[in-house]
Amino acid sequence: MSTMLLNALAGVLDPVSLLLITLGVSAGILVGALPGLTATMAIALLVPFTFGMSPIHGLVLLGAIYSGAIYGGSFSAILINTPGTPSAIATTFDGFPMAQKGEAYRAIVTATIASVFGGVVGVLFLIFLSPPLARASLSFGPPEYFWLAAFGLTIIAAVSPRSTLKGLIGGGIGLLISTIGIAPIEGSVRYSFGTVALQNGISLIPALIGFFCIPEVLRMVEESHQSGTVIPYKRQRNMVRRVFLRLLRHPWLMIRSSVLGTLIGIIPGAGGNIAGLVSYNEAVRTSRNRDSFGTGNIEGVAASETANNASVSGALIPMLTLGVPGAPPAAVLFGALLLQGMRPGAELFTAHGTITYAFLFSLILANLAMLPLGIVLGRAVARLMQKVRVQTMAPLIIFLSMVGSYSIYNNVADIYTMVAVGLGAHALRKAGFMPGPIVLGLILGPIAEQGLSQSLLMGRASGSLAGVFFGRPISLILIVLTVVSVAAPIVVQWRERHGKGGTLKAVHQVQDGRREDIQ
Amino acid sequence: MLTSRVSGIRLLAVILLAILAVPGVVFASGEAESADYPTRAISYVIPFNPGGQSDVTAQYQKPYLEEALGVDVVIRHQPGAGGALAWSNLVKARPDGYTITGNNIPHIIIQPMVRDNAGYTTDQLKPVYLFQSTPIGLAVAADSPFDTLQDLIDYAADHPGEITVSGSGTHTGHHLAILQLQYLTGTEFTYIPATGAAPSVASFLGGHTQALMANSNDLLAHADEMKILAIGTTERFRALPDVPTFVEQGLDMTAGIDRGVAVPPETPDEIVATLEAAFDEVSANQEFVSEMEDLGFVIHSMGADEFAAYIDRKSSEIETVLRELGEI
Amino acid sequence: MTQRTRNLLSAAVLVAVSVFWYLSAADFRPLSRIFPRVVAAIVGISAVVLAVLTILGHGPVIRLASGDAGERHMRSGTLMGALVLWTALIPVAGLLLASLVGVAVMGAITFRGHHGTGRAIIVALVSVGAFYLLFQMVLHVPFPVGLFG
Repeated sequence: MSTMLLNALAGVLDPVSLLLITLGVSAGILVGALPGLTATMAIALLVPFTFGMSPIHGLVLLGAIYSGAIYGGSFSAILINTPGTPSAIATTFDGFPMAQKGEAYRAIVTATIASVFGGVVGVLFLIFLSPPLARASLSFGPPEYFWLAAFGLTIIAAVSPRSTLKGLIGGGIGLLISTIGIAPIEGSVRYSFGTVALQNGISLIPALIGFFCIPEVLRMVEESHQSGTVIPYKRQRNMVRRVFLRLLRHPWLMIRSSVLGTLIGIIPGAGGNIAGLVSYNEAVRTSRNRDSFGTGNIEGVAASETANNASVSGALIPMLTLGVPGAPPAAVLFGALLLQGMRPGAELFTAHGTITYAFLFSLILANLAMLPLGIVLGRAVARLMQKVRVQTMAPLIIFLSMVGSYSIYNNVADIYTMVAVGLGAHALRKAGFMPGPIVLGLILGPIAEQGLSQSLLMGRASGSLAGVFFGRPISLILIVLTVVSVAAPIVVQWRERHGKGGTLKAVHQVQDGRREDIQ
Repeated sequence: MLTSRVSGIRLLAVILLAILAVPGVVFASGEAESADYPTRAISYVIPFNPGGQSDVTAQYQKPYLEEALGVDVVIRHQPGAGGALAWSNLVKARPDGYTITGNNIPHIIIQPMVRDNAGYTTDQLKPVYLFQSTPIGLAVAADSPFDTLQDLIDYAADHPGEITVSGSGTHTGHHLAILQLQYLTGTEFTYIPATGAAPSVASFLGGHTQALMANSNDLLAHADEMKILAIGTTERFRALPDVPTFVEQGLDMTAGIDRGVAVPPETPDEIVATLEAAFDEVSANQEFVSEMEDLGFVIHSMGADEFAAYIDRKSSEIETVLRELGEI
Repeated sequence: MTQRTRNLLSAAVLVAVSVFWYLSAADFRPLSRIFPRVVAAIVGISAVVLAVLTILGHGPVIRLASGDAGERHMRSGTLMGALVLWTALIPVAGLLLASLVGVAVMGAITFRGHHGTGRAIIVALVSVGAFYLLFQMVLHVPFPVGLFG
């Protein structure tokens, strides 16, 4: 065992491995930062190149890309309000408002430190707790997925502070959109209007790009006359130390987010996006000044980024131990393992132990490498944004959105989807429906529907619907969480209204001015 | 200062324009002589996600194919609508042999049958070569009261719909296998489709369903946690020699996913022949065969004509089952 | 348009969409039907609540940034027009040509008052060219071609 670990350590610390980690993380950050280029795609593109490498080098490179890409998604989330990868959705909620206040660099540093922390905690879980956690993840069956999605939908309240009703309708719009395409159960073709392009439904990533990117560009151009044409950039000394000390004041936030991220990553079918959103929701729910979320609260960025990077290792846990990948990028890594002649399972930690542990150690190094790389890149990008005018950015962002939407599935129809969704999102925004809740519905819809239909089938077979939906321990926990999540804000509001209602109203009115348009 | 920067940008623009023009020229000259096929990179489109079995096979084939054809083979993924997205694009692609797409049975047969407009018809996809298949097997948990396929069928006959079976997707190979089983035995199972092989195996291992329809690779990976009752090959499957086939147990059924490649309709026969020969060379390579067999695949070397006949035979077989069970 | 009309208009559209969604589901198989119907019902009812609250004067008000509304709408209107044209050009001219034209035209609109049209063309050539090269040569993702590709 110990010789195996030493060999593994030697494998990671050789110069080639270290170089591959640096290259992999840098390339991953770039891919992640470009909307439409995802971690899954980056890994899939590189797998053929790793074929000729030694297993350790190949896996080290892929792991580094994966970590870098999930982290890189925060750059565009913060700078242009568009998640570079779906994992960074929750990062936009507070990251972009920070950038608008001139704190882009501060937000990037926060995202960096949070990602490193979450990533390292996730790998530690992966190294020490894989087998029991993987077993536990199997107790997630259809009813649990349904309740997980229901719990996820309660996040709407946290991401639409202006009007819960409009947030709820927005979530509903997202759910409606998610029902377009072939039904997961029984296979009816729904709402495709006879076209083949819509049979697959509205592809998530082009929709994400459309929802976040296009309205933002249109708004940028609309407002460029009054609010100055460049995003301001505030210089500050010792930014890294300051942010670090600031985050140190919230140890519970960091620990909770990384644990949540790892656990959600383990569940097959729930990846970094849900990890980030749930963690953000918990941060809002437990915070003492929840009204500052959505206006550029550093804790929101930290919660999202800690969780989504922790989910990277989480997704690898069932993949390595059970052969069941926890997220799409992990599924591609799974294919890469097969190509190297390694079968997931106990054997990975014994017969192939040296390679497997070398891979795990390299993930820690990859996460640590994000710190210097991210900070240097972050400063450079934030400065660049200061020089480039909004007017120059607008057409380029739209071009990038098109290329990104196209390149996911090499499908031209996805460009049309993206543009149509974008124009629709612009209109919806004018009517007061923000993208956050809609996208939430879009992501959770398929999980909710799948869980619901499968549970109904299970109930029919066992003769007890109630038993399937309400008689299982994990389901009960999720139901309690859902109820608490819905009830807590209502109780708080009621108390405030009957206590110091007057002042609160005034506070809200003041915030009206600041908070417009920035969820 | 300023002017020099601007002219620098202009220069860059001119250079870029020149480079942009180059591929156009190359394309034009390549198109003229189809007798030399192939002269440029071939796109090998996988209608499923990277990391799946079609992808793994293609990644293994790639170096051997490149050697046989003498040009680059670029693997691209176009997942969606259970593969229909890629196939509907293939029938619209130029029939020049530079786009080949994975051709999976039963997918290409079932989809046009059950959907009003799948975007393609089975006979529009011109078959080139069938190189491997993955048998599908039926398993129950290691601690299940059922020890044989007959036990399971007997129970299902007395308790219609009570046995839940996990599998991947609706109108897929796994779904078809359970439909075949119901059709042949007159029983009823509750099929619970998952969004893919991995979640379906997870659902079964977690005890949320009583039985599992799965591809041989998943059965192999989890063999010690389950009892495999039957496998869909005609003869015993090399990797699981103790598992009886459905045929041995008195059921006239085979179940599996067959994988090959197809080209757009109207593709000239010479081009099909060139591709066919290249795939034949790959499948005759002992190194490739042993790599594939280690992963649990069954290797075939079925040329274009044989492949087309096989599709016809499968089509009528599948149509009977679907019609009898009211799926179409 | 006031918030009140916006709320009422969106409520009307949403009710229409949910009714359509609900009714179309009649053709689907039972388990394909249930989820879209439940969601359509929720959205429809919420939209009615929104309309009622707005009529009663308690409707949610989400203020958008203020300013010279006319001029802003003109700018974003032209930009949306350019975007639609650009997209419509893709199936005809291919992504490369359409984007060269698209970035240049959109740039010319957004640059007005700051830079000239020449600058927009240069930006289009450099940026679109760079990405074309990256995708075509490095990533092996060919850009979609148009009718003449």
